[in-house]
Amino acid sequence: MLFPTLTFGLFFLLVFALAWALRGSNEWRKIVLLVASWIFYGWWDTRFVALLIASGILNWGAARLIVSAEDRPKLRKLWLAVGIAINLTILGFFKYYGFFMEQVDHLLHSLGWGRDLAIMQVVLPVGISFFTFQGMSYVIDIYRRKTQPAVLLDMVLLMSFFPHLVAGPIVRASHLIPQFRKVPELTRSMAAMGLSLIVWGLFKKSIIASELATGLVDNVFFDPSAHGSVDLIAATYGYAVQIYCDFSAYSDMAIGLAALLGYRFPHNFNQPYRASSLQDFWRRWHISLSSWLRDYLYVSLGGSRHGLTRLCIALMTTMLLGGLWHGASWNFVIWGALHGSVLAIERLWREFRPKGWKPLPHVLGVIITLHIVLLGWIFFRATSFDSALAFLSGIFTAGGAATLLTPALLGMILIGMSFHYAPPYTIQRVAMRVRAIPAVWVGLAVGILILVVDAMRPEGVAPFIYYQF
Amino acid sequence: MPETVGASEEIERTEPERAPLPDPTGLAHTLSPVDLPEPAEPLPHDGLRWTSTIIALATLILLVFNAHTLRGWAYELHPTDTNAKVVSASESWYDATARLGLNRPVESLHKAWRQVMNLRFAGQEPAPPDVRLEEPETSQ
Repeated sequence: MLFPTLTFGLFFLLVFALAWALRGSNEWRKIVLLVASWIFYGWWDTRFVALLIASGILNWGAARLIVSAEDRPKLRKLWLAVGIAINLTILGFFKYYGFFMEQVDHLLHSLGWGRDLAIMQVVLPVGISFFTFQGMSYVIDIYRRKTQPAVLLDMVLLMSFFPHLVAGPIVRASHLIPQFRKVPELTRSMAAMGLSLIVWGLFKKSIIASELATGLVDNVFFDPSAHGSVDLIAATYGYAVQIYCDFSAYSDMAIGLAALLGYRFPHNFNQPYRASSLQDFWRRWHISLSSWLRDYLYVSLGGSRHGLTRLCIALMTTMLLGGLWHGASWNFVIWGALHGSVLAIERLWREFRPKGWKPLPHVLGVIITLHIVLLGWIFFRATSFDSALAFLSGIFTAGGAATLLTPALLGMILIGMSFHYAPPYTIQRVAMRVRAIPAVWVGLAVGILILVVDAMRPEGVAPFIYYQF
Repeated sequence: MPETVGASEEIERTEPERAPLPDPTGLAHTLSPVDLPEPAEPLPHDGLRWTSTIIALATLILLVFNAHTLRGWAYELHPTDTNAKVVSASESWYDATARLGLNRPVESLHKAWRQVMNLRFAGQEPAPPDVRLEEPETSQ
């Protein structure tokens, strides 16, 4: 069930009506949201609803055991390790088993001990990386005494709640569980912002991301060697715009839908391509993942507390694992390594920059950062390492005129890039005006805007890019 | 708890390199995008009624002016007896709105937009035909 579809629209209308009709009983309201979330998740594959429930119960149980061992530090640590191990086992089996076995198979063949290994084909449950990370953050926060233990219903709802379930933002227990403890209030401000984000997300996903994907990016990345330099360069910028408009649209709609149900989700994007360094980029791109990696991985690896060498190792390890979080593929490892290396270089440059040398001009910093990110996106999007290399070499050697890049697609790339250089918090400022307007006029505007988006979108709705992670 | 100390220390050490932009509304310091500053003049406490009216009106507009999407959705349902009735009802609704010319705004906008999308640079091959607003294939 994809957000920009009529099926989801009807589903949400029903959930919205039921959730607010039951505002007299918080428990029943949460039960309805939980069942709705399972229906939403079961729309893809009913088998994995059981996995979602089991994951919630296991994390709740691990947290209870940590709390019950309050005065026994070693036992607390043991239960923490068990909780993390359970999450990593679930994630590892579904996401990395096939990749690991393929590597073992290649290794055995290269050593001359080749066997036809019976590699089981494991279906990847949608959103497993997101809900597993949420479960882990809860167990770790309980261990660190940074959040209060949740009741089972709240914990399972935290992990299952449909707006963020399949592609984030990664909402932590400390952020959402306190909101679950009472019936929320729907204010005009929340509703105005929620509706603005939903319409804005629909526009970004249904028009810009979809047109760029079907008209340019998918074709070029499918076979880079068949395209000239202009199309390859356009596809590079096009993919940067597409992945932003796709992923941030999902986040916007998720935040907007949760707001209409009365819940506040955290920020996830903040005009990432205006970043003037890679460190700045990671404060603006997929903020809920980057802050998760910082708080639970980078800091646990020592962060900046043990000298520069350990810091660089921690940065590199964090980004490598961040790359692998996206999927079991050497391309994601390379993407992570590129980001880790540049982050480490930036840190070393700040430490050892000769006195008297001025920092890079801001505009130059933005341009350099954007192109490092673009280089990373080529590896991120390419189907294989060889394909990424063919793509890169084609940019410089293929020549040839544009065959796929059209005036409209070029316009979309420029419009998509311009979102990053617009005044900050533009949507919030729009919502601040909308909330004071009578409902009839806003309803008319929302209806017309959705009509316009629907009239402009291409045939069908492709799944969001981050569904595969 | 060294991790907790480390986390706050880390956050302190990663302050932005540039001075933040002027932010009189405080939007840069919110935990969620839906946290908007309170207006100078308080708004009515009618958020649920206000939102419900908006959603109802927007739904009505889509139902009246976007019948082809409803029809397309109905044709994608699994072929069962119940869904055959849904298809039949959506066809009837589409015909009724078409007779009144209510489908025309969306169809006109769609055609105009496809013309923009079909523009080509000199020397490029022409665009393939658009199929979206054509009659759906009957599967039931």
